[in-house]
Amino acid sequence: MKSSSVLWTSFILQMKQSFARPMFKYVMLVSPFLSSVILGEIYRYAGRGDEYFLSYVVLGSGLWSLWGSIIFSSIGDINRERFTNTLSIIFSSPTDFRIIWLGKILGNTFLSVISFFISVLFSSILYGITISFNNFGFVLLSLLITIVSFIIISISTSYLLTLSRKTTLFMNCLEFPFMLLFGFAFPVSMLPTPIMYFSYIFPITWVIKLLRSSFSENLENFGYYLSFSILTIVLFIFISHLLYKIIYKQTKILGTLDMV
Amino acid sequence: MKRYLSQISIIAKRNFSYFNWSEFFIYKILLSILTLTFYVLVANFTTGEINLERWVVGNAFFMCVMECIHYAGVIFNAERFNGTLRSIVVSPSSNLFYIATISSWNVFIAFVTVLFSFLAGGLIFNINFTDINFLVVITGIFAAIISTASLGILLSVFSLVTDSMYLVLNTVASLIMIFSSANFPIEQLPRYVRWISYILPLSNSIRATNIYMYDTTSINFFRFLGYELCLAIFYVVIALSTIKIIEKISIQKATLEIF
Repeated sequence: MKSSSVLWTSFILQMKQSFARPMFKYVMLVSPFLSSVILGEIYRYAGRGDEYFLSYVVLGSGLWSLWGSIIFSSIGDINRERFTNTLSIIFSSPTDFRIIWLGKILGNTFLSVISFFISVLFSSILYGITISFNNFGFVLLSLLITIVSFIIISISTSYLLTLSRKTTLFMNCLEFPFMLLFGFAFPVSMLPTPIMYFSYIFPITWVIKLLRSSFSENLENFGYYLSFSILTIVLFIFISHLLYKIIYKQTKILGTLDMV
Repeated sequence: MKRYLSQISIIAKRNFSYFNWSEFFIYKILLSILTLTFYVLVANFTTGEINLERWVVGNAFFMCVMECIHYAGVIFNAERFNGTLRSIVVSPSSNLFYIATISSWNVFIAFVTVLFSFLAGGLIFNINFTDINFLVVITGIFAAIISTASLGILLSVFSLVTDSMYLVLNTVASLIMIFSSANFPIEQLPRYVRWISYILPLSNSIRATNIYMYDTTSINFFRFLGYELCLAIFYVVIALSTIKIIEKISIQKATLEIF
């Protein structure tokens, strides 16, 4: 079977499976509305202006929805495959595990992007924020880079959790700590300096800055954020490749892939 | 009482067979502290306030939701997954008593989580503990947890007829966040939705603790807490009156063991 065909089948199947789960329905269809209200009301209480609403409420809640969908789908899928006894089958099939897994992550990300747009649309309507598309090309580019960065983080994290039997524990531990680290709802400069520098390792921190910059009129530091976004994405592609090699080896040695 | 204690010890053993102490600390305590930090930092950034007590209190209290709603609400789901739900439903003892027993463990963990979150939040955001009336804080935490756990018990009853409990529980948890006044006053919300705060837990205990934390215990403090406890009784009464009906529906519709 051709890799592209495997990728497509995995992509379609994953979307059907994910959407059948009530938890995914929550993160995709309900959470965008509620997270928009939570962030929006916090900012409204402080009496912040439209600029803050666009950067931290409209985009912040959109990214919150996207991140939530990614965690409770792509990262948790390892556990679901393990419980249905299909993880070892996928791992030992003649097709490269990475192709099958990428198809799954693409399927989940496609659905998650819908939740991002629901959130952006709802919060901008609810709080009367006009989104200007003066730099439409830059907005599109930054959105594309954002999606790529979320995909690569999903891949790395799900590989990392392949060997663990406590995926549920780690999956639940990822949402707020990483939202804190990436600066979804406030600038990362609010964090203590060592943590702020640590957050710069992750592409999501940079793509958030890139996305905010693409919506600003003068594209403040766009090139700078774009360079670091690409650089950190490349770094994480390398990390995920390395993780796969280690996991592949460890799986053969430990033989714990199917243990629940 | 003996059966109650034996059930609690089984639940504790089950928890610690899955987690070791460090994982338990990360999952239950550290995660709550980091979630609280996230919300308080948002408040700090938006308002520019230095005195962040009310956000620390509100968000620390909200940390009981994980145990009391998310975990207590899926007690039947866990039994279904283990294949023991049928035995529990047909057993002559009260199902609600069984949920309440297991929830006691969640209540205990929630109390530890909220207390640790409050203390850690206080240290991170420089709250002056010397003037705080800890009796008020602990009483407030206790009332908040009792009412939230009662709602968790009520919601868990519905897991006999639906497989969408995670959707229901997460939606309720987010609504509690919105209507609890943990991060913004309820008065800010449109008038026609404010009534929701009266039927959801936490708002009274958070408000009472914020007002009387530095004050000596007053009669008004107990009025707020009384309302919170009335809410808890209301949830339990509804759970008691609906469990038999829902059990019957689940048997008739064969949804008892639906995944």
